[in-house]
Amino acid sequence: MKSGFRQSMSWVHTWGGLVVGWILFFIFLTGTLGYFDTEIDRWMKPELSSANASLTQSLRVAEARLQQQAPGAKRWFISPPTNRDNPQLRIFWEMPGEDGKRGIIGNELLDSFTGEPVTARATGGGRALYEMHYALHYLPSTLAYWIVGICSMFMLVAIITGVIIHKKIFKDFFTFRPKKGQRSWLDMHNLLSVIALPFHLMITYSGLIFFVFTYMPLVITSSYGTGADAQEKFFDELFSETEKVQPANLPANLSSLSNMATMAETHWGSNQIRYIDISYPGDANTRVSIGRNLHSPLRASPEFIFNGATGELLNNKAALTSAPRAVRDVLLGLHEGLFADLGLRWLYFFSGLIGTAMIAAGLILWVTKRRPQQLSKSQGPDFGHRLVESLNIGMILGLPLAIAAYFWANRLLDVNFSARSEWEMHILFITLLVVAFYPFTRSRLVKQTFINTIQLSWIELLWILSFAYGFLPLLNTITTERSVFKSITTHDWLFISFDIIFFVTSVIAGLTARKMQKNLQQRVHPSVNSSNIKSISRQELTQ
Amino acid sequence: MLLALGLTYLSCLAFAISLKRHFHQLFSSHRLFRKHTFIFKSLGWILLALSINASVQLYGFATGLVVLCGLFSAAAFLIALLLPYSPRTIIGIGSSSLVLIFIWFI
Repeated sequence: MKSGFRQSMSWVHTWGGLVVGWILFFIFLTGTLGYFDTEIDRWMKPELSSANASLTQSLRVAEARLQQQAPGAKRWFISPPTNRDNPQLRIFWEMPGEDGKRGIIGNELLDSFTGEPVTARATGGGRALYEMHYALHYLPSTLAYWIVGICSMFMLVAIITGVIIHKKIFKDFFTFRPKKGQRSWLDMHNLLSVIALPFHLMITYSGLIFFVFTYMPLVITSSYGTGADAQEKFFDELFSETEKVQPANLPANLSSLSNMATMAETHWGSNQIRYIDISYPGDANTRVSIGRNLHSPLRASPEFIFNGATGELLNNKAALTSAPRAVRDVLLGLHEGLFADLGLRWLYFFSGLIGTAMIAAGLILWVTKRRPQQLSKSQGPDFGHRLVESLNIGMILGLPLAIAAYFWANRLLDVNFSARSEWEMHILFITLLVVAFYPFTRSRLVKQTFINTIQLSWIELLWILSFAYGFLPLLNTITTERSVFKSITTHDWLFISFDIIFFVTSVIAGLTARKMQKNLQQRVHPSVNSSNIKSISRQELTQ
Repeated sequence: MLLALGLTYLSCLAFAISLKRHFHQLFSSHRLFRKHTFIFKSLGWILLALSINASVQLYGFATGLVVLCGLFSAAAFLIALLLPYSPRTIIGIGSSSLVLIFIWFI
């Protein structure tokens, strides 16, 4: 620790940021992709059609299917295909349980025209990517929450110390000076942090609030006592949605759902129904709650509550039920961005990418700063320095490559393979692992100076990354029926956007690789000008 | 949203012009006087207020501010990246957003 306030803050920022930097990069990138989780789901299940029937037709077939699958259920839940989060008609049911235990539950995706259940290839989809950013996939969830929580805490510390050590926040607001080595990386790191500072703060802080009851279990204990029962009681009270109705145990026919839906739509406008929740269908005391789409970060919908047997409107419940809970929910809602329309969703995505790039720039800055001194050492760079250089490659290039591999696996694994969705994930992590060891293996196979190994690893992996994303549209065209040409002619914007994003990622990776290659060649042969650089063979370079 | 983006962009641009380094990147032949700094800074704040107004009108107060933060990040990022490479593009985008806003009000 150094003396002086700014120096000590700088020390905390540098080392605190470094130790959790790679995990934070992982969390930020997978979380950012989570803003388009449903869209990625749809890309990864190309069999599902995007056409949907009218609301009346959807409700009719959903009710018929529920009647067939789950008569006498405790609860039916219909999500009509009216919003971004739910592009496909979905039904859910819960049977009555015995002795206080939860009954059997089930859910199905339905064709909204015919009511036939639709099946698609087994895949984790975008959902799995999104869940990875707090559950880290292989680990038990509580352990993962703690790891993520500690890393987020470090992130919060890094943000605050970062603001303290940044000398000229306003004067250097727009400053980026390229081609100046360390200076440029610092500029880039600062720029990416400052321009999206409100986002970084919000996302980190609210991320911590998500698992606050895991991190601070004593908060519950103080009013509810210890033990699992006390916890359960607390969550029951916190999350109980509506006052519970008891069944009358008298049979009655369910009144027309589409009439109730029409009533809700006349109030809210068309395509505004998020869900229809039916408790005790077929009973005289059945209740039907119709919830509206989300329009604000408050994670609850206003609801219309009907008497399901008569179709009479009983209650018009506002979304806001408790102010303290709303404070928490708004923070979580801001984090999730479920209320965001397409424009705001892109802004969220973009801010997330800025955060991801900021972390990457910070990690690269760490090594760039220390490289000259480390390279001048007589016995070569320290083990620690080499480790950081390799881990940087392993995560900053490894994760995007691993995600590309995940997409490739989705298209290439046999549709009938039983452990399909598990293996998609295994392939993601295997790729990540292989890339993490790439510089190490490379230096064993081809003896070179340390810095050349690192630089060439960057260049080669960037080329691989470029090809991995560049060929995805082609792979999609070959293996599915939704080819590039078909997407364009049928105005299938979802698939067109994916093709464009893959292409852009590929071009960026390719251009970066080419630029790094030129820089490296200029360093090795400073006399050669850029016009005949291509004539230098790789062999020459590696000697 | 395009209107709000245009206003946010112009606000960022005004702030950038008010800073000496970026003024020289944008208009290399001219000199920046202290008086100008003040004018551009005030202009930046006024435009920022207008863009807050635009996004709040579109999305309501809470969500509008969220949208504004996102727009501001995007606009500032664009300007900061273009400054060293192509200052003329910045002015180009600025003028087209001016035209866009003008048409909007008519």
